[in-house]
Amino acid sequence: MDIQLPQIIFQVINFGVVMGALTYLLYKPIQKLMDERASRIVEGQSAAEAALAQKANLDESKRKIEREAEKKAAILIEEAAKKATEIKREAVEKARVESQAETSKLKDQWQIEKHQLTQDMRQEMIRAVMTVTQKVIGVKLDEKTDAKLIGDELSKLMK
Amino acid sequence: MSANLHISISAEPVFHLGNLAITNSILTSLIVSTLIISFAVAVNWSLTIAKSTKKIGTLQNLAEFLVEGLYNLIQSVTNDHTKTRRFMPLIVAYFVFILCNNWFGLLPGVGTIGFKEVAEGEEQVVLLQQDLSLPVAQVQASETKPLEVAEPNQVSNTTTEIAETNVDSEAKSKSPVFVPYFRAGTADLNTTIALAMITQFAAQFWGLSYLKFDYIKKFINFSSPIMFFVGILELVGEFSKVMSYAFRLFGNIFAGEVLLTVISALVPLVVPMAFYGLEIFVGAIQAFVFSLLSIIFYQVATLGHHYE
Repeated sequence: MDIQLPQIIFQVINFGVVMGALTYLLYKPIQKLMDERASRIVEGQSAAEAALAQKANLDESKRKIEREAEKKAAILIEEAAKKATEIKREAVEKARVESQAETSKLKDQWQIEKHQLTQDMRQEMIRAVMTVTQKVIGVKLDEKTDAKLIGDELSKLMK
Repeated sequence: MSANLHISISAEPVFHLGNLAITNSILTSLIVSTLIISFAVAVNWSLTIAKSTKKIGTLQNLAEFLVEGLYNLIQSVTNDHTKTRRFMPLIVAYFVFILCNNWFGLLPGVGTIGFKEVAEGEEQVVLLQQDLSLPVAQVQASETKPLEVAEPNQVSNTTTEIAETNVDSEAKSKSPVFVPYFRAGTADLNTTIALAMITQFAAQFWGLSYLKFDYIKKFINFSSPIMFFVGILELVGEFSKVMSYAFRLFGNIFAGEVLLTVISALVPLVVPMAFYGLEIFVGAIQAFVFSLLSIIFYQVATLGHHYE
Protein backbone atom coordinates (compact mmCIF):
# COMPACT_ATOMS: atom_id res chain seq x y z
CA MET A 1 0.00 0.00 0.00
CA ASP A 2 1.49 3.28 -0.96
CA ILE A 3 -0.29 6.48 -0.03
CA GLN A 4 0.80 9.23 -2.36
CA LEU A 5 -0.16 12.84 -1.79
CA PRO A 6 -0.17 13.84 -5.50
CA GLN A 7 -2.62 11.05 -6.26
CA ILE A 8 -4.84 12.07 -3.33
CA ILE A 9 -4.81 15.69 -4.55
CA PHE A 10 -5.56 14.50 -8.08
CA GLN A 11 -8.55 12.50 -6.82
CA VAL A 12 -9.76 15.46 -4.74
CA ILE A 13 -9.67 17.67 -7.86
CA ASN A 14 -11.31 14.93 -9.91
CA PHE A 15 -14.09 14.57 -7.36
CA GLY A 16 -14.48 18.35 -7.18
CA VAL A 17 -14.99 18.54 -10.93
CA VAL A 18 -17.54 15.71 -10.82
CA MET A 19 -19.34 17.38 -7.93
CA GLY A 20 -19.45 20.73 -9.74
CA ALA A 21 -20.77 19.14 -12.91
CA LEU A 22 -23.39 17.12 -11.02
CA THR A 23 -24.46 20.16 -9.02
CA TYR A 24 -24.84 22.59 -11.91
CA LEU A 25 -25.97 20.18 -14.62
CA LEU A 26 -28.05 17.68 -12.67
CA TYR A 27 -28.89 18.50 -9.07
CA LYS A 28 -29.86 22.18 -9.36
CA PRO A 29 -32.04 21.87 -12.50
CA ILE A 30 -33.74 18.76 -11.10
CA GLN A 31 -34.26 20.42 -7.72
CA LYS A 32 -35.67 23.52 -9.45
CA LEU A 33 -37.99 21.33 -11.50
CA MET A 34 -39.12 19.44 -8.42
CA ASP A 35 -39.69 22.68 -6.49
CA GLU A 36 -41.80 24.03 -9.36
CA ARG A 37 -43.74 20.79 -9.45
CA ALA A 38 -44.23 20.87 -5.68
CA SER A 39 -45.49 24.47 -5.81
CA ARG A 40 -47.82 23.51 -8.68
CA ILE A 41 -49.13 20.61 -6.60
CA VAL A 42 -49.67 22.92 -3.61
CA GLU A 43 -51.44 25.45 -5.86
CA GLY A 44 -53.53 22.67 -7.35
CA GLN A 45 -54.43 21.36 -3.92
CA SER A 46 -55.47 24.80 -2.68
CA ALA A 47 -57.44 25.39 -5.90
CA ALA A 48 -59.12 22.00 -5.45
CA GLU A 49 -59.94 22.84 -1.84
CA ALA A 50 -61.38 26.22 -2.93
CA ALA A 51 -63.38 24.50 -5.67
CA LEU A 52 -64.71 21.99 -3.13
CA ALA A 53 -65.70 24.81 -0.78
CA GLN A 54 -67.37 26.64 -3.69
CA LYS A 55 -69.17 23.44 -4.66
CA ALA A 56 -70.38 22.99 -1.08
CA ASN A 57 -71.69 26.58 -1.13
CA LEU A 58 -73.37 26.01 -4.47
CA ASP A 59 -74.93 22.79 -3.20
CA GLU A 60 -76.22 24.60 -0.14
CA SER A 61 -77.68 27.45 -2.22
CA LYS A 62 -79.12 24.88 -4.64
CA ARG A 63 -80.81 23.07 -1.76
CA LYS A 64 -82.09 26.42 -0.46
CA ILE A 65 -83.49 27.35 -3.88
CA GLU A 66 -85.05 23.91 -4.20
CA ARG A 67 -86.72 24.26 -0.80
CA GLU A 68 -88.06 27.71 -1.74
CA ALA A 69 -89.24 26.44 -5.11
CA GLU A 70 -90.99 23.53 -3.42
CA LYS A 71 -92.74 25.93 -1.04
CA LYS A 72 -93.78 28.22 -3.92
CA ALA A 73 -94.93 25.24 -5.94
CA ALA A 74 -97.04 23.99 -3.04
CA ILE A 75 -98.64 27.43 -2.67
CA LEU A 76 -99.25 27.65 -6.41
CA ILE A 77 -100.75 24.16 -6.49
CA GLU A 78 -103.01 25.02 -3.57
CA GLU A 79 -104.10 28.27 -5.25
CA ALA A 80 -104.64 26.49 -8.54
CA ALA A 81 -106.72 23.83 -6.82
CA LYS A 82 -108.81 26.50 -5.16
CA LYS A 83 -109.20 28.35 -8.41
CA ALA A 84 -110.10 25.14 -10.23
CA THR A 85 -112.72 24.32 -7.61
CA GLU A 86 -114.15 27.82 -7.97
CA ILE A 87 -114.16 27.56 -11.75
CA LYS A 88 -115.76 24.15 -11.55
CA ARG A 89 -118.39 25.39 -9.16
CA GLU A 90 -119.10 28.40 -11.37
CA ALA A 91 -119.24 26.23 -14.46
CA VAL A 92 -121.62 23.79 -12.81
CA GLU A 93 -123.79 26.67 -11.59
CA LYS A 94 -123.78 28.26 -15.01
CA ALA A 95 -124.63 24.95 -16.64
CA ARG A 96 -127.42 24.40 -14.14
CA VAL A 97 -128.84 27.86 -14.81
CA GLU A 98 -128.50 27.40 -18.53
CA SER A 99 -130.11 23.98 -18.42
CA GLN A 100 -132.95 25.33 -16.27
CA ALA A 101 -133.43 28.17 -18.71
CA GLU A 102 -133.32 25.76 -21.62
CA THR A 103 -135.72 23.38 -19.86
CA SER A 104 -138.15 26.18 -19.10
CA LYS A 105 -137.83 27.47 -22.63
CA LEU A 106 -138.46 24.03 -24.03
CA LYS A 107 -141.35 23.58 -21.61
CA ASP A 108 -142.86 26.85 -22.76
CA GLN A 109 -142.34 25.92 -26.35
CA TRP A 110 -143.84 22.53 -25.70
CA GLN A 111 -146.86 24.16 -24.01
CA ILE A 112 -147.29 26.44 -26.98
CA GLU A 113 -146.94 23.60 -29.40
CA LYS A 114 -149.28 21.48 -27.29
CA HIS A 115 -151.80 24.28 -27.19
CA GLN A 116 -151.43 24.78 -30.91
CA LEU A 117 -151.86 21.10 -31.58
CA THR A 118 -154.87 20.94 -29.28
CA GLN A 119 -156.43 23.86 -31.11
CA ASP A 120 -155.67 22.27 -34.46
CA MET A 121 -157.03 18.98 -33.32
CA ARG A 122 -160.14 20.69 -31.94
CA GLN A 123 -160.79 22.48 -35.21
CA GLU A 124 -160.29 19.26 -37.11
CA MET A 125 -162.60 17.44 -34.79
CA ILE A 126 -165.23 20.16 -35.07
CA ARG A 127 -165.09 19.97 -38.79
CA ALA A 128 -165.24 16.19 -38.70
CA VAL A 129 -168.16 16.17 -36.26
CA MET A 130 -169.95 18.80 -38.25
CA THR A 131 -169.49 16.84 -41.39
CA VAL A 132 -170.64 13.59 -39.76
CA THR A 133 -173.56 15.30 -37.98
CA GLN A 134 -174.58 16.98 -41.17
CA LYS A 135 -174.56 13.71 -42.98
CA VAL A 136 -176.39 11.89 -40.15
CA ILE A 137 -179.01 14.42 -39.26
CA GLY A 138 -178.88 16.41 -42.44
CA VAL A 139 -178.85 19.63 -40.49
CA LYS A 140 -176.00 21.95 -40.41
CA LEU A 141 -175.06 22.96 -36.89
CA ASP A 142 -173.57 26.29 -36.18
CA GLU A 143 -170.05 26.59 -35.25
CA LYS A 144 -170.69 27.85 -31.73
CA THR A 145 -172.73 24.84 -30.77
CA ASP A 146 -170.31 22.48 -32.36
CA ALA A 147 -167.42 24.05 -30.67
CA LYS A 148 -169.18 23.87 -27.28
CA LEU A 149 -169.93 20.21 -27.80
CA ILE A 150 -166.52 19.31 -29.02
CA GLY A 151 -164.89 21.35 -26.31
CA ASP A 152 -166.83 19.49 -23.65
CA GLU A 153 -165.90 16.16 -25.14
CA LEU A 154 -162.29 17.02 -25.45
CA SER A 155 -162.22 18.24 -21.92
CA LYS A 156 -163.58 14.90 -20.83
CA LEU A 157 -160.95 13.14 -22.89
CA MET A 158 -158.15 15.24 -21.60
CA LYS A 159 -159.13 14.43 -18.05
CA MET B 1 -4.44 -17.45 -19.38
CA SER B 2 -1.40 -16.20 -17.50
CA ALA B 3 0.42 -18.50 -15.20
CA ASN B 4 0.32 -16.10 -12.23
CA LEU B 5 -2.90 -14.80 -10.77
CA HIS B 6 -1.73 -11.33 -9.93
CA ILE B 7 -3.40 -9.13 -7.34
CA SER B 8 -1.73 -5.95 -6.18
CA ILE B 9 -2.97 -4.21 -3.05
CA SER B 10 -1.93 -0.82 -4.41
CA ALA B 11 -2.78 0.74 -7.75
CA GLU B 12 -0.09 0.32 -10.40
CA PRO B 13 1.18 3.15 -12.60
CA VAL B 14 0.12 2.84 -16.21
CA PHE B 15 1.98 5.92 -17.45
CA HIS B 16 3.45 9.11 -16.10
CA LEU B 17 2.23 12.67 -16.63
CA GLY B 18 5.24 14.71 -15.59
CA ASN B 19 5.91 13.74 -12.01
CA LEU B 20 2.43 12.39 -11.47
CA ALA B 21 2.09 8.65 -11.92
CA ILE B 22 -1.23 7.93 -13.58
CA THR B 23 -2.26 4.69 -11.98
CA ASN B 24 -4.87 2.31 -13.30
CA SER B 25 -7.30 3.46 -10.59
CA ILE B 26 -6.82 7.12 -11.56
CA LEU B 27 -7.39 6.17 -15.20
CA THR B 28 -10.60 4.37 -14.25
CA SER B 29 -11.70 7.28 -12.04
CA LEU B 30 -11.17 9.66 -14.96
CA ILE B 31 -13.25 7.47 -17.27
CA VAL B 32 -15.97 7.16 -14.63
CA SER B 33 -15.90 10.92 -14.04
CA THR B 34 -16.25 11.51 -17.78
CA LEU B 35 -19.21 9.13 -17.90
CA ILE B 36 -20.85 10.82 -14.90
CA ILE B 37 -20.38 14.28 -16.43
CA SER B 38 -21.77 12.97 -19.74
CA PHE B 39 -24.77 11.62 -17.86
CA ALA B 40 -25.27 15.00 -16.17
CA VAL B 41 -25.03 16.78 -19.53
CA ALA B 42 -27.50 14.30 -21.04
CA VAL B 43 -29.94 14.85 -18.17
CA ASN B 44 -29.62 18.61 -18.55
CA TRP B 45 -30.27 18.30 -22.28
CA SER B 46 -33.21 16.00 -21.63
CA LEU B 47 -34.63 18.59 -19.21
CA THR B 48 -34.36 21.28 -21.90
CA ILE B 49 -36.17 19.03 -24.39
CA ALA B 50 -38.79 18.09 -21.80
CA LYS B 51 -39.61 21.78 -21.27
CA SER B 52 -40.64 22.19 -24.89
CA THR B 53 -42.18 18.75 -25.55
CA LYS B 54 -43.73 18.33 -22.07
CA LYS B 55 -42.61 14.69 -22.12
CA ILE B 56 -40.47 13.24 -19.34
CA GLY B 57 -37.68 11.00 -20.62
CA THR B 58 -36.06 7.95 -19.02
CA LEU B 59 -32.92 9.90 -18.10
CA GLN B 60 -34.94 12.58 -16.35
CA ASN B 61 -36.90 9.93 -14.48
CA LEU B 62 -33.68 8.28 -13.35
CA ALA B 63 -32.17 11.61 -12.26
CA GLU B 64 -35.34 12.60 -10.41
CA PHE B 65 -35.44 9.21 -8.69
CA LEU B 66 -31.82 9.65 -7.59
CA VAL B 67 -32.17 13.25 -6.41
CA GLU B 68 -35.50 12.69 -4.67
CA GLY B 69 -34.30 9.50 -2.97
CA LEU B 70 -31.15 11.17 -1.65
CA TYR B 71 -33.08 14.30 -0.66
CA ASN B 72 -35.52 12.22 1.38
CA LEU B 73 -32.63 10.29 2.94
CA ILE B 74 -30.86 13.48 4.04
CA GLN B 75 -34.12 15.04 5.17
CA SER B 76 -34.88 11.99 7.32
CA VAL B 77 -31.57 12.58 9.15
CA THR B 78 -31.45 16.38 9.34
CA ASN B 79 -35.17 17.16 9.53
CA ASP B 80 -34.24 20.61 8.23
CA HIS B 81 -34.78 21.58 4.58
CA THR B 82 -32.10 24.30 4.63
CA LYS B 83 -29.45 21.85 5.82
CA THR B 84 -30.65 19.20 3.40
CA ARG B 85 -30.25 21.60 0.49
CA ARG B 86 -26.75 22.50 1.67
CA PHE B 87 -25.63 18.89 2.02
CA MET B 88 -27.28 17.65 -1.17
CA PRO B 89 -24.59 18.52 -3.78
CA LEU B 90 -21.87 16.68 -1.85
CA ILE B 91 -24.02 13.69 -0.99
CA VAL B 92 -25.26 13.30 -4.59
CA ALA B 93 -21.66 13.48 -5.77
CA TYR B 94 -20.43 10.92 -3.19
CA PHE B 95 -23.16 8.48 -4.00
CA VAL B 96 -22.87 8.69 -7.79
CA PHE B 97 -19.06 8.77 -7.83
CA ILE B 98 -18.61 5.83 -5.44
CA LEU B 99 -21.41 3.76 -6.97
CA CYS B 100 -20.11 4.21 -10.51
CA ASN B 101 -16.52 3.48 -9.47
CA ASN B 102 -17.58 0.38 -7.55
CA TRP B 103 -19.64 -0.96 -10.42
CA PHE B 104 -17.12 -0.01 -13.08
CA GLY B 105 -14.67 -2.37 -11.36
CA LEU B 106 -17.05 -5.25 -12.12
CA LEU B 107 -17.13 -4.66 -15.87
CA PRO B 108 -15.45 -7.26 -18.06
CA GLY B 109 -11.96 -6.10 -18.98
CA VAL B 110 -11.36 -4.18 -15.78
CA GLY B 111 -8.49 -5.97 -14.06
CA THR B 112 -8.07 -8.44 -16.89
CA ILE B 113 -6.84 -6.29 -19.78
CA GLY B 114 -3.37 -4.90 -19.25
CA PHE B 115 0.30 -5.28 -20.00
CA LYS B 116 3.28 -7.09 -18.50
CA GLU B 117 5.95 -5.18 -16.68
CA VAL B 118 9.14 -6.26 -14.94
CA ALA B 119 8.62 -5.60 -11.25
CA GLU B 120 11.29 -3.60 -9.49
CA GLY B 121 11.15 -5.35 -6.13
CA GLU B 122 8.03 -3.68 -4.81
CA GLU B 123 5.99 -5.29 -2.09
CA GLN B 124 3.19 -7.16 -3.75
CA VAL B 125 0.69 -9.84 -3.03
CA VAL B 126 0.78 -12.45 -5.75
CA LEU B 127 -1.67 -15.28 -5.96
CA LEU B 128 -0.29 -18.26 -7.80
CA GLN B 129 -2.81 -19.97 -9.97
CA GLN B 130 -1.16 -23.35 -9.98
CA ASP B 131 -1.01 -24.14 -6.27
CA LEU B 132 -3.50 -21.50 -5.07
CA SER B 133 -1.69 -21.05 -1.76
CA LEU B 134 -3.31 -17.74 -0.86
CA PRO B 135 -1.90 -15.24 -0.16
CA VAL B 136 1.77 -15.55 -0.99
CA ALA B 137 3.87 -12.50 -0.26
CA GLN B 138 6.59 -11.73 -2.69
CA VAL B 139 9.08 -9.77 -0.66
CA GLN B 140 11.79 -7.47 -1.91
CA ALA B 141 14.55 -9.17 -3.81
CA SER B 142 17.19 -7.90 -1.40
CA GLU B 143 15.49 -9.45 1.58
CA THR B 144 16.61 -12.95 2.56
CA LYS B 145 15.41 -15.57 4.93
CA PRO B 146 16.80 -15.17 8.47
CA LEU B 147 19.51 -17.66 9.09
CA GLU B 148 18.61 -20.42 11.40
CA VAL B 149 21.07 -22.18 13.72
CA ALA B 150 22.11 -25.27 11.93
CA GLU B 151 24.21 -28.30 12.61
CA PRO B 152 27.79 -28.03 11.21
CA ASN B 153 27.11 -30.76 8.68
CA GLN B 154 24.02 -28.94 7.48
CA VAL B 155 25.73 -25.56 6.93
CA SER B 156 26.67 -26.25 3.36
CA ASN B 157 23.11 -27.38 2.59
CA THR B 158 21.61 -24.29 4.26
CA THR B 159 23.94 -21.98 2.37
CA THR B 160 22.87 -23.62 -0.84
CA GLU B 161 19.22 -23.15 0.11
CA ILE B 162 19.78 -19.46 0.90
CA ALA B 163 21.53 -19.00 -2.39
CA GLU B 164 18.69 -20.71 -4.21
CA THR B 165 16.16 -18.57 -2.36
CA ASN B 166 18.03 -15.42 -3.39
CA VAL B 167 18.17 -16.55 -6.97
CA ASP B 168 14.44 -17.44 -6.91
CA SER B 169 13.53 -14.13 -5.33
CA GLU B 170 15.52 -12.15 -7.87
CA ALA B 171 14.06 -14.19 -10.67
CA LYS B 172 10.54 -13.66 -9.36
CA SER B 173 11.04 -9.93 -8.74
CA LYS B 174 12.35 -9.44 -12.26
CA SER B 175 9.78 -11.72 -13.83
CA PRO B 176 7.14 -9.85 -15.81
CA VAL B 177 4.21 -8.80 -13.69
CA PHE B 178 0.77 -8.27 -15.16
CA VAL B 179 -0.45 -4.68 -14.80
CA PRO B 180 -4.11 -4.10 -15.66
CA TYR B 181 -5.05 -0.88 -17.44
CA PHE B 182 -8.12 -0.45 -15.29
CA ARG B 183 -8.82 -0.93 -11.61
CA ALA B 184 -11.88 0.21 -9.69
CA GLY B 185 -11.23 3.73 -8.42
CA THR B 186 -12.46 2.85 -4.95
CA ALA B 187 -10.13 -0.16 -4.82
CA ASP B 188 -7.28 2.32 -4.42
CA LEU B 189 -6.59 3.68 -0.95
CA ASN B 190 -5.58 7.09 -2.35
CA THR B 191 -9.08 7.59 -3.79
CA THR B 192 -10.85 6.55 -0.60
CA ILE B 193 -8.53 8.75 1.50
CA ALA B 194 -9.30 11.67 -0.82
CA LEU B 195 -13.04 11.07 -0.40
CA ALA B 196 -12.73 10.67 3.38
CA MET B 197 -10.69 13.89 3.61
CA ILE B 198 -13.29 15.82 1.61
CA THR B 199 -16.00 14.45 3.91
CA GLN B 200 -14.16 15.47 7.06
CA PHE B 201 -13.16 18.91 5.70
CA ALA B 202 -16.78 19.53 4.78
CA ALA B 203 -17.88 18.39 8.27
CA GLN B 204 -15.44 20.85 9.88
CA PHE B 205 -16.52 23.63 7.51
CA TRP B 206 -20.20 23.15 8.27
CA GLY B 207 -19.53 22.72 11.97
CA LEU B 208 -17.73 26.08 12.01
CA SER B 209 -20.30 27.83 9.83
CA TYR B 210 -23.23 26.63 11.97
CA LEU B 211 -21.78 26.75 15.49
CA LYS B 212 -18.99 29.37 15.04
CA PHE B 213 -16.78 29.45 18.12
CA ASP B 214 -18.81 26.76 19.91
CA TYR B 215 -17.52 24.23 17.42
CA ILE B 216 -13.88 24.93 18.36
CA LYS B 217 -14.83 24.52 22.01
CA LYS B 218 -15.60 20.92 21.17
CA PHE B 219 -11.84 20.33 20.67
CA ILE B 220 -10.22 23.00 22.82
CA ASN B 221 -11.96 23.32 26.12
CA PHE B 222 -10.22 24.59 29.25
CA SER B 223 -13.30 24.56 31.46
CA SER B 224 -12.05 21.45 33.29
CA PRO B 225 -9.22 18.93 32.91
CA ILE B 226 -11.73 16.27 31.93
CA MET B 227 -13.19 18.44 29.18
CA PHE B 228 -9.69 19.27 27.96
CA PHE B 229 -8.92 15.57 27.69
CA VAL B 230 -12.25 14.93 25.99
CA GLY B 231 -11.38 17.68 23.50
CA ILE B 232 -8.11 15.95 22.64
CA LEU B 233 -9.98 12.68 22.16
CA GLU B 234 -12.46 14.46 19.89
CA LEU B 235 -9.56 15.85 17.86
CA VAL B 236 -7.97 12.42 17.51
CA GLY B 237 -11.40 11.06 16.63
CA GLU B 238 -11.70 13.46 13.70
CA PHE B 239 -8.43 12.15 12.21
CA SER B 240 -9.29 8.53 12.91
CA LYS B 241 -12.60 9.06 11.12
CA VAL B 242 -10.67 9.77 7.92
CA MET B 243 -8.73 6.54 8.28
CA SER B 244 -11.68 4.37 9.26
CA TYR B 245 -13.77 5.89 6.52
CA ALA B 246 -11.10 5.39 3.87
CA PHE B 247 -10.20 1.85 4.92
CA ARG B 248 -13.83 0.73 5.19
CA LEU B 249 -14.58 1.57 1.57
CA PHE B 250 -11.22 0.43 0.26
CA GLY B 251 -11.35 -2.83 2.23
CA ASN B 252 -14.82 -3.74 1.05
CA ILE B 253 -14.20 -3.05 -2.61
CA PHE B 254 -10.70 -4.51 -2.72
CA ALA B 255 -11.87 -7.63 -0.87
CA GLY B 256 -14.65 -7.98 -3.44
CA GLU B 257 -12.15 -7.80 -6.28
CA VAL B 258 -9.92 -10.42 -4.62
CA LEU B 259 -12.92 -12.65 -4.03
CA LEU B 260 -14.01 -12.41 -7.66
CA THR B 261 -10.49 -13.07 -8.95
CA VAL B 262 -10.02 -16.12 -6.73
CA ILE B 263 -13.47 -17.56 -7.42
CA SER B 264 -13.01 -16.99 -11.17
CA ALA B 265 -9.68 -18.82 -11.00
CA LEU B 266 -11.11 -21.72 -8.99
CA VAL B 267 -14.37 -22.20 -10.92
CA PRO B 268 -14.38 -20.11 -14.09
CA LEU B 269 -17.96 -20.91 -15.13
CA VAL B 270 -21.35 -20.06 -13.58
CA VAL B 271 -20.19 -19.83 -9.94
CA PRO B 272 -18.63 -16.34 -10.29
CA MET B 273 -22.01 -15.03 -11.44
CA ALA B 274 -23.41 -15.38 -7.93
CA PHE B 275 -20.44 -13.49 -6.55
CA TYR B 276 -20.83 -10.81 -9.23
CA GLY B 277 -24.40 -10.37 -8.02
CA LEU B 278 -23.11 -10.08 -4.48
CA GLU B 279 -20.51 -7.51 -5.52
CA ILE B 280 -23.12 -5.43 -7.36
CA PHE B 281 -25.07 -5.39 -4.11
CA VAL B 282 -21.97 -4.62 -2.02
CA GLY B 283 -21.02 -1.79 -4.40
CA ALA B 284 -24.43 -0.17 -3.97
CA ILE B 285 -24.46 -0.73 -0.23
CA GLN B 286 -21.00 0.77 0.20
CA ALA B 287 -21.98 3.88 -1.77
CA PHE B 288 -25.10 4.16 0.37
CA VAL B 289 -23.19 3.61 3.63
CA PHE B 290 -20.56 6.21 2.70
CA SER B 291 -23.25 8.77 1.84
CA LEU B 292 -25.31 8.00 4.94
CA LEU B 293 -22.29 8.24 7.26
CA SER B 294 -21.35 11.57 5.64
CA ILE B 295 -24.83 12.91 6.31
CA ILE B 296 -24.60 11.77 9.93
CA PHE B 297 -21.14 13.36 10.34
CA TYR B 298 -22.45 16.64 8.92
CA GLN B 299 -25.52 16.53 11.10
CA VAL B 300 -23.48 15.79 14.22
CA ALA B 301 -21.00 18.55 13.33
CA THR B 302 -23.77 21.12 12.94
CA LEU B 303 -25.46 20.30 16.24
CA GLY B 304 -24.29 21.79 19.51
CA HIS B 305 -23.11 19.82 22.54
CA HIS B 306 -26.54 19.95 24.08
CA TYR B 307 -27.82 17.63 21.35
CA GLU B 308 -25.15 15.00 21.93
